[in-house]
Order: sequence, then structure tokens, then C-alpha cells
Amino acid sequence: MLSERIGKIRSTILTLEEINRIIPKEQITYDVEANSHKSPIIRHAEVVERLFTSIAINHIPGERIAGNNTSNYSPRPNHLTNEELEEIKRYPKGVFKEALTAMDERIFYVWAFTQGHIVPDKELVLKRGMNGIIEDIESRLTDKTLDRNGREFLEASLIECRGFLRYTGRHAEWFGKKAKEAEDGGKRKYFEDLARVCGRVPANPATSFREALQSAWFVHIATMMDDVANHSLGRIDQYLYPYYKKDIDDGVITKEEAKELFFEFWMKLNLGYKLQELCGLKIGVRAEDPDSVGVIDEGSYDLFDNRDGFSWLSLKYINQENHTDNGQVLDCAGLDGEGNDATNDISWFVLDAVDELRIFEPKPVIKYTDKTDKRFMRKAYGILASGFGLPAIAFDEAGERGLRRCNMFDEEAIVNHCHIGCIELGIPGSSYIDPMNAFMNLPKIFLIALNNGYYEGRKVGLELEAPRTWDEFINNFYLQLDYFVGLYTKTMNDASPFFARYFVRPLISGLIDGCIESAVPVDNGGARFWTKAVNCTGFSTAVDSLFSIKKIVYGEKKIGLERLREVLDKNFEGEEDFRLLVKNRIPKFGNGVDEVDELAKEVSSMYAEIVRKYKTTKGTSYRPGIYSFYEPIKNMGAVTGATPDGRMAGEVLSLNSAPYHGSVKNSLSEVLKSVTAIEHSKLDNASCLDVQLNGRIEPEVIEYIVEYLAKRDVLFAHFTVVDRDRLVEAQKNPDRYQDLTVRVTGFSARFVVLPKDTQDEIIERSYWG
Amino acid sequence: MGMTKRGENNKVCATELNIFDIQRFSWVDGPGIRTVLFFKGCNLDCIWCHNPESRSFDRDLLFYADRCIGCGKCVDICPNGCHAFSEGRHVVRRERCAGCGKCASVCNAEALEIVGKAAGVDDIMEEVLEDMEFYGMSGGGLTLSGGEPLLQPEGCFEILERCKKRGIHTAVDTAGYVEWSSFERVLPVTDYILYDVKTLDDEVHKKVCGVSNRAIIRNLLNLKDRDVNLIVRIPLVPGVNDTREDVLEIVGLVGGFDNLVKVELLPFHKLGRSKYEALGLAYRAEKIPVPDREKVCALRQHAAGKR
Ligand code: SF4
Ligand code: SF4
Repeated sequence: MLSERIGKIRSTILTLEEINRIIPKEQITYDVEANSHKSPIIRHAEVVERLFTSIAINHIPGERIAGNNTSNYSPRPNHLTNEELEEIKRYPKGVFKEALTAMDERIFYVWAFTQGHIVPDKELVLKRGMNGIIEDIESRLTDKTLDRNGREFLEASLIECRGFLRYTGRHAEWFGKKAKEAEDGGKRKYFEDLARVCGRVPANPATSFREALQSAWFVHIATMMDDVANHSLGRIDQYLYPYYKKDIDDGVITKEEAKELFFEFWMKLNLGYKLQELCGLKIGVRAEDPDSVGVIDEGSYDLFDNRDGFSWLSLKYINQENHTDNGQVLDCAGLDGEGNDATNDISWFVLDAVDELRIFEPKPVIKYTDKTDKRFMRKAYGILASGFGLPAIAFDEAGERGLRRCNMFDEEAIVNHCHIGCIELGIPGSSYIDPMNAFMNLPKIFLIALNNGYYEGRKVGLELEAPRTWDEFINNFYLQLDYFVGLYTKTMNDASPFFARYFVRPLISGLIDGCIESAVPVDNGGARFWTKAVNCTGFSTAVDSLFSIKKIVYGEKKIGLERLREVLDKNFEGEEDFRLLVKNRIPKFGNGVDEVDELAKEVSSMYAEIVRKYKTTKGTSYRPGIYSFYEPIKNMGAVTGATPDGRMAGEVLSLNSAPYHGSVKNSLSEVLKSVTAIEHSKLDNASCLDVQLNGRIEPEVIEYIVEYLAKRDVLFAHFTVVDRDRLVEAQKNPDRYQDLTVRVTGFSARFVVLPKDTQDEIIERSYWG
Repeated sequence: MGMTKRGENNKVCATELNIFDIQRFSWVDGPGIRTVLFFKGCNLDCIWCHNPESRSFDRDLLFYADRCIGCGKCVDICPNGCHAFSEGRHVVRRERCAGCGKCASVCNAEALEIVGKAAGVDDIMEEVLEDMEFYGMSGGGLTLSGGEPLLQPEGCFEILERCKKRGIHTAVDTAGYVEWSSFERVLPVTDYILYDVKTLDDEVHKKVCGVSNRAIIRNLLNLKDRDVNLIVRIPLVPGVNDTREDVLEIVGLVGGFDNLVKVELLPFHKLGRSKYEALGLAYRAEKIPVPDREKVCALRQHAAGKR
């Protein structure tokens, strides 16, 4: 049961209007042109410093952890000059012609700067305090051999770190004043405590559980000022535990009190989701807040439109306006340094928070191992079976296996790995992995292979000789794939240093191991572990299409390649019977058919091999992932012609490694057999299974599936338990189903707020998202 | 139906069963994760039946009109002239159909489907064994369902015995309207009986299921002291058995059984309606409402023995 205090905070924090009533809307400005002689990184630092020094202090009555982010906070003012902005807009024109063609065809997307997707080292701040980090930077600055870039980065970082401490110090002052004004002793003590905690952290090392939570929360706010969103929290149960344990041992806090404080922290992380719900979920469309002040680009823009330099920046400008986050993954359980089960009381608090608060942010992930406390897992299964799509389950061993394949991370880091953004694997506090990128459109690459390098008569890929055998055919597909991955990585290697000049995060860089030492910001390669990823989209659409070719063209010889091309070019017009033949009569991935599963395994492995061949600007290998979310599969599907799996032109592509919707004809056993035929650890950047179960589910059923997956090479699974009838009902009567929740790759959402087409997608899917 | 054939070298070939489906990964047909084998043919005629294709012992032809693209291939291939187009509409003359399946095999649209097949025990076992891993971790196994499996007692025995030899948990889902000897045949190789009980009121039973419930109740009572676990399942149908009294009456009948595991309620739903259409049969449950959630929850409490 929630205490009355927590219940009140919950209702305040979940009603954005209420927070915004407390915090007046404000507008902070920065004169870029007057500062144009400074470099962009210094201007960025000054802008962030200005936010830190002038944003209004706010407080929700009763809360013991200070500070709330809000949409009323001033947008971060632009730090780039008009000239620089023009240069950014011009950038795409200078890129290789082939790359622009590929992007126009939506064969891949380049986001040269992905927001967030990094785990700043909160543990470090807890241990050393921001003062410790400032000391490090200052001492690094005494190095006379530093070049201008290095010096400016460290100076920028220093400006922001000091600004950050002014922000937290202002909280201490504000609470101090409140304490003086307080009429009764209880109130006074309450504010004095807040003032004392804010006076100590994050400047100094945390000495108690409350200070640790406060410090971690302040750092989280600071990262949202410096960057945008998608900042994961890492292994929160591990780095908070020592402070909790000490307080319990010293008798200064009870378990119940600690849990309440933890709940407060949890609720603060929800604001981003709340805002997202209010402003619309669509990625690529500017948040529709009529009062929002455009920072750079006045109009709305499409993230997947490659003509504008800014669309090369992922979600950069969408959320920067409100300093909230909705990609806050955090990890719990897993193994400790000695290889024992790391589940502790904080891990349990995580599940309690999910169970009792029932909010969608943050998004916990359980690092599952065969040593993980069974009771703990059972509680998680119970929550999942109740229909709430959290927590996600990640398979630690496969994750480690995957990270080892990168030949980059050391063993200690591998054991300590966490999830970043949505499902991507990384190392807290020391890795930059830029995991959300490319979305290689496999079905379209397949079509280009089928047309020997052409798409609708336009030369897009490699001109290759017409294949005579199946082996030659699939080989051509791999050659085209290789070509496009090469093109993508070449483009990325050119774009990423260019954009890193302008889009910077000096404070966050200071919290990533390696950056201060090398005096290089994280986006330029400063992190100890630095790499980038190539994800692909439409995996099973491509596999089904390839299998179809294998069967009907080279196997049963029902149709020649030439004729097949004609049929597809005409989008099956007048050939409905043939379309149904390939759709219904040729086995599809997801039905446990060995031959198809083998092909899926081969394609995924080859894809991984191809991606790893290519090197980043730092010389590390790109990391492969089979990963997409709804926007790319719709967006890329829209410009991808008919495929020989029976999919019509323009239809959506398959999601992640899931079977194409509607193609699963058998039971979950067969689906599981198929999807586990893929060696997911080879796709170590990200590969996710979305298990959708219909009807009433006992928690044990989820347990069995998890145990089955754990024995195989699977990285990550989401579970959504839904009642199909209820979804249809909910679509008709949204008012009555406000609390119905679904979980699909990377987001949990209330079903009723999703756009209609996404709702339909979810209803359509039988078992897999 | 179960018959034993002699093979060439005088070895006993596997019995063939008249079935219509095998479904894997079920968690609602007995303990754990189970494979369910659906037998074809039933001797009850429940008006709410959601598996109308399970009732006839013969093969059924299902036609889904909304999927038909009018290609006409079925018209050409049917030896008995069952398919025809009249005024642009596809008409199926089922009375002529011999169930040969030729039309379904050429229909790419999956508008035609033949339901019912003779399957050998070996083939069935092969599929059953696929999910050994799930049975092992969950205590699941094979459930015979239908239709009425116990109308093929020899086939049931053979497949259940094979399962027992492999250490697979076994269950039989029956409506109980069979000779007691059929129960005797399978009991030695059956761990669970899922026993469907509709109502104890014989007049009502005759009206909604087409037969008297006397034999059903007698067989149920016979199971009392037998070495088999019993789950009693009540298909909850508004207007037939959805009052507290209805449920308590059935619970009262079996409440004293030592081998009773639980009484389950299976709320009526209309998901089977499209199959009636496909079979060219009238749907008789149109007027029956779907029981509402709260009521089902409350009745489940009663079924669990809480008054
Ligand atoms: S074969 Fe199928 S699609 Fe063609 S006319 Fe017959 S039922 Fe319709
Ligand atoms: S099953 Fe055979 S007899 Fe029956 S309609 Fe089809 S082709 Fe004709």
C-alpha cells in the first residue's frame, strides 16, 4: 500500500498541469551572435550554465527529494550562429551522391548525432562528488601540451559542472529560507533536512541513501540540460545499495522509509512519459505544444527526411525543449563482481515500484541469470502476467557473449554491462555506442538484388550479373547488402565528426570514463569504449522473400526471375492468385519450419559479419543489431515495393526479428523455435523478442518461456499480456480502457493514446510484436 | 475411428485416429504447458459449441466466403460438382461433397479448408515429443480433447500408453457421455480427467445438449474413488447455468471427491461463430449474451468453494 504522502506526490507528479502550476513558464535567452567569436562548445556550456543559474526552483509539498524537471522550464537556447546553422543545412549536399540516393530511397537513415543513449557515471558522482570531478578537470587543464580543442572541451565541461553546482546550491539556499520562514518545528526540520542534503550533494560524496538518491537525481536533471533524452540509469540497484546498507546497519533508516524515498525518485522519472503522452507519441513530428518556442527550426520536420541537415540529428530538437526524458532504462539483478546473484533490497524496490506505482517511466530491465533469486523472478512474472508490460527480461549470459564478440570490452566491463536507450547493450559510465542508427532496409536491398542493382529503373546499388542459381542469387543479395552497409558506414564516418563539432555534451562527457583523460568529448571519441552500430529493419520480410525465391524460382521452378520481377513491379496486379500462393503456401519464418529457420540464421549471421567488417573513425568495428521500432518499419515499408512473400507495395515491414504479422499459423512453441534459431548474441548491439500473449496467463507460463529462452542465444525479451478482445473493445471505447497497457520495443504505452495504425498493428499480431 | 491394421511383415501398425487438430503450447487444458490433440466427432449437440467442426465424425468442408477471390479453380477440380458460381456468387453444394480435399489443396486464398484427418499414432507422437522440454519444466504433457475422445477408446489408450512410457503427463478432456468401459480402458494410463459438466437439471440438459445427462453424472460419480485427478469444467452459459445456485449444485456434487483438483469455469464466447458460417450451419447461440467479467469473477469464487 502506498502511504498517503507518496500517494499525494504521485497524483501531483502524474498531473503535469499541477507541476506546471507550481513552476511558472519562463524563457531564458542567449545572444549567440554576440558570442560568435567563441567556439560552439563554449557557447553550449554558457547556455547550459545560464539554465542552471536562472531556472526557477520548484518543490512539490511533502517530497523529500528536491527538484523537478518540467515542460515549463525554458528551452535550452540555441548556441549556434546563423552561419553555422547554414553550414549544417548545407552539409547533406556535400555528401557522396550514392549515399544521398540510398537515403532518398530510404535504404538507410543516418543520424550523425543520436541524442542520449549514454549512461553517465552516476556511481562516480556518488563516490567522489562533483567536486572530485571538477578537481580532475582542473588538474587535467594544467597540462601545457593540451591542444585548443582539448582545452576548450575541458573548460566547457568545467563551466557546466560549476553551473550545475550553482543550481543545486540554489536549492539548498531556497530550502534554507523556507526553513527560516517555517512556523512549526516539524516544517522547519523538514526544510532544514532538504537544505542540508542539497548543500552536500552532488558537490560532495553521498553519505546516506537519501543523499545518494538526491545526488543521482540531480545528475539526471543535469544530463537533460546538457543533452536531450534517452539517458539510462545503469545498474541502479548495485550503486545505490552500499548507501542503503550502511543506513540500515547504522539504524538511521528503516526498510520502509528507504522504499518510500526510492518511490519518490522513481516517480520523478515519469514526467517525460507524461509529457510524451500529452504532446503526441509520433516521432518525427514536433511536439505540439502551441507555446513551445522553436529553437532552430521553426516548422515541423520529418526525422526520416534526409534532405535537411537537422534530420541527421535523431531526436535532437524535439525534446530539448522541455528537459524531460522518456528513454530511461535501468538495470537490476544480474551478477556481482564475484559472479554471485546481485539481487538485493533495491532490486526488490524496483519491482515494488513497478507493481505499486504502475507508471511507465523509468523502464526496468532484469538482468536474468540462472542464479537470479527465483522469488524475485516470480514477482516479476506476476507483474507481467497482470498485463503490465514491465519489467523487460535480458539474458545476461547471452549479453556477455555478445559483448565479447566486439573484441573491445574488458571482462570486468562485460559483467557490469547494462542496457541503454531501449534494449541496446552498453557499459555504464565508460562506453559510447551510438546504438540507434541506420535501420538498413533489408527488403528493399533484397529487391535491388532481385533487379541486379536497380530499383524502379534507377541505378541504386551494384550492377551485378544475373544469378543463375540460388547460391548466386543469395550471394548477390549479400553483395548488395555489403555495398549499402559500406556506404552507410562511410557516410557516417564523414558525418559524425562534422556534427560533433556543433552538437556537444561537455558535462556528460565529463561523466564518461576516458574523456577527461584524453581531453576529447564523448562524441569525438573520448570514451574508453567507443563504437557505433548498424541496425536492420524488415528482417523476416527479407527472409520470407528470399525463401520464396529459393522455393518457387530455383526449387519448384514455378516462375522465372524475369516474370517474377514483372509481377512484383505491377504490385501483383491481376496476379492475386499468385500472391496468395506465395503468401499462404510457401512456409514463413515463425512456424518452426527448419529450412526457413536455417535461412534466417544464415542471413542474420552474414549480416552481422558484414557489419563487423566496417570500422568507425576510431578504428573499432561497427556493431550489428536487428532492431527497429514502429516508425522505420512503416516509413521504410511505404517506399518498398511488393515482395515475393506476398506483401504488397507500401505495406509495413516486419519488426525486429519477429515473424511478419499474420504469418504465424502455429503455436507459440513453433514461434519460439524459429526466433531462437537466430544466434542473437551475434547481433550484440540490439536484438529483441516481443512476446505477446493473449488471454489469461498464469505467471508460470512466462517463467517457462523465460527459462526456454535463457537456454538459447537470446538477448532480450519484452512480454505483453493482452486480451485481443479487450484491445478491440478499447479501440472502440477508449474512455473505459484508460489504464490498458502494451509494451512494444522500446516503449510501454497506454494503448488508448497510441495512433490508430499502431493500435491496429498490435491487434493484428498474434504472438509477436 | 480406431482400427488396427496388420502391416506387411505382420508387425502391428499404429492405430489411426480420427482427429482434426493438434495444438501446442496450451496452458489452459490441464496442468503445465500441453499439447492438445482434438478428436473428431461428438455425441452431444450443445447449442453454444464453439468447435462446430468437431461434431461430425466425417470430414467437413469449411468455406470462408470473405477470403474467396473467385479464381474458379475449385469449380474445375471438384469431381462431384460441389462448387459453382451463380450470379457472381460462390455456392457450395455440400450435400455432394465427399471430403476428398482436392478443392482445398488448390485454393491459395485459404478460403477452403478440409477439417478432419486420419492420423497415425507414430506421427502424432512425433509432434507430441517436440515439446518435451516444456512438459519437463512445467509438468505438462498431452491432453486428448475434441470432439469426444472417449468415443475412440482404443486410439486414446494407445497414444496415452505411449506417452506414459515416455514419462509424459496425460489428460483426457471428456463430456462423459460414453460407455463406462471406455473410461476403464484409459484410466490406467491417464493422470488427469477434465470432465465437462453443463447442468445437473436433466430437462435443461436435454434441451441445450440434445441428450440426457444421466450417463454423464453416473460416470462422473464412478470416478470418485479412482486413481485419477479430476478437474470439473463448467462451460458458463448465461441462461443455462450461470447462477450461483447452478454452480454450487455442481460443486456440491463433486466437492467430496478426494481426487478433485478444482472446478473450472469456462465463460461462453462467440469466437466460433465464423466457423458455423464456414460450415454452412446456423449459429444457434446468437442470442446468448457473453457473461460479464464481474459475474464470472464472482462465480469463480463459488467454484473455488467459497460461498
Ligand atoms: S479456389 Fe478458393 S479462391 Fe478460388 S474460387 Fe475456389 S474458393 Fe474461391
Ligand atoms: S472436398 Fe472434394 S468433393 Fe468436396 S467439394 Fe472439395 S473437391 Fe469436391
